[in-house]
Order: sequence, then structure tokens, then C-alpha cells
Amino acid sequence: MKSVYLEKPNVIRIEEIKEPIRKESEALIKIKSVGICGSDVGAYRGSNPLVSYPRIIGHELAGEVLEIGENKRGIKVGDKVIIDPYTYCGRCYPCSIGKTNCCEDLKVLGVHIDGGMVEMFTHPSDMLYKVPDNIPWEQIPAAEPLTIALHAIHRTNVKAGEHVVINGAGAIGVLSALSVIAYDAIPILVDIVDERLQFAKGLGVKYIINPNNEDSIKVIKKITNGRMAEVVIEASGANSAIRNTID
Amino acid sequence: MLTKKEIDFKGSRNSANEFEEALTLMSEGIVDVKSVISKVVKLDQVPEAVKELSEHPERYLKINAIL
Repeated sequence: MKSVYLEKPNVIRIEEIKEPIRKESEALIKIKSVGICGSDVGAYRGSNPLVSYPRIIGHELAGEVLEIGENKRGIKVGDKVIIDPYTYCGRCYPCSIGKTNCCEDLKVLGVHIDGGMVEMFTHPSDMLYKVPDNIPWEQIPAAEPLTIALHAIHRTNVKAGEHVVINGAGAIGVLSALSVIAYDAIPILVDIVDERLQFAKGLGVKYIINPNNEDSIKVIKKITNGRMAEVVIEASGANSAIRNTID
Repeated sequence: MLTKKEIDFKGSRNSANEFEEALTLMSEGIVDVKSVISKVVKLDQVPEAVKELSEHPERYLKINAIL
């Protein structure tokens, strides 16, 4: 079967590999759609120190269940599912308090272990979520970056009416802004690429700031009537943006 | 500044227990993820799409592929 194979940084191709064999606790899934994440691009560039090579990339994965055993979510053959790509040990302290995303032995698909940009994939049955029928295949993988955005606004406990500054108008920044709107709060999106800001504005993000053209602190002061934002979400990775989060 | 404003810092790593809410928001049309998908390609085109994203990150938000 085909796989998206990253031999080493900057060398990526379609490679034929063997089909996987399902273990009892796993499901066999026919992959129907995948998303390319910024971290896949980072793996390609060789800029993510967590990635080991060679590596099959991909952690935004949706598919149809072909084989599955007993599982706690009641998933059956033929179900449309999305894959939770953060596999954890279940024994360490973070896992014991439910923070499986902080597992001491966290293995993320496409990063620490082979990912799912393949035709057939096996994955722990209990790490699958059934997808509502009305979401089209090409959109389902986007649920994964949306969980990242939701996790950020849950961690910061965003409440209705609050102003939330978001640094970075990439996919995670824009999804965070849309999630903030879904929580009846007010996003203020900051980026240095005007095209990205204008695009976000078209999606209903009222406040956009390009710090290369205007003083972001002053503009935020004006938008918030001097109060400044209750929450800042850093989704850019830029040093200056990280520094500005506390101002 | 940290003490002056009593700022709380919260790390956020990947996610845990967020898929059900994400799927509900998408299914009910509350969050339109379609808007962040700039392009849909086939699996065979993914290697080229990764290169394109690496060279021109300003042109796209997300590229997805269908099989």
C-alpha cells in the first residue's frame, strides 16, 4: 500500500509499504482523508527535534472501520471515525490524573512513531471517535487541530464577553478565533501577514492587528477600553509575540 | 509584570478529551472548519503539497487530502 514517507529532512515521497496487521485491542481502518499539519511541514524541514527518521507522517486522520474487536466506545465495522493521535502509557503520574496529553512517554503519530498517511492503518480501538454523518470526509481531519484550539481556550478558561488576543493567524490561530467566537467571547487576532488577517476578517474576526504596521498594545488598549485582554493565546511561536503576551 | 498583574501562565499541549466537542461544533455548523482548508488534494500529491507548504506558508492555511 501507499504511504507518505519522509526518509530524512527534505526528502519526501510516496513509498510502498506492507499493510498492517490488527492486534486484538486495535481497529483496522481504511484511511479516507488526512490533513497536513504545520508539524508535518516541520518534520519535512527537519526543524522539529522530536521527530526521528525515517518517518511516515500524518496525525490528522479519518477513515472507515474495516475490522474491530470489543471496545468501550461501541464502535462498529463501517463506522466513520477520527483518530486520536496522542498515544499514552496510562501508567505515569500525568496519565493517572487524566492528563494523557502530558504523558511522560507520549508517542504522537507521525512524530515519535509512524503516522497515518497510508491507505490502511491500525490504531487502539479506544482512541477512535465516531464522526457525525453530516461532516464530509475532506473536513473531518480538521477536528484534530480544532481540539488543539479548544484545549487552549479550556486551559485559559475563556468566558463569554472576554477579549482574547491570539498571536498567529495560521490554522490553529484562526480555529482558536472561531472557537472563541463560539464561546461568545471576542477574539483579537495578531499576525504580521496581512493576507492572513484579511482572510480571518472575512470569517467574522472583527479585530485584527499587524504589529509591523501599528502599535499592538495601543490598539488592544483601545479595543478593550483600557482594560487589556483577559486572555492571550500564543499560537505563533515568534519570540517577540511571546514577550508581548505579558504586556 | 507577572506580579504586578498577577498573570497566570498556562501551558497547552496537544489536547485530551476534546474530540467530542470538536466534532459537535463542526456537525452543528458552529465552527466552520471548511474556511481553513485552502486546498484538497489526493494522497499521491501530498509530498508535493508538503514542499509547497514549506516554501510558501503564506499561501495556505491547511491542505487536506482525500483517498
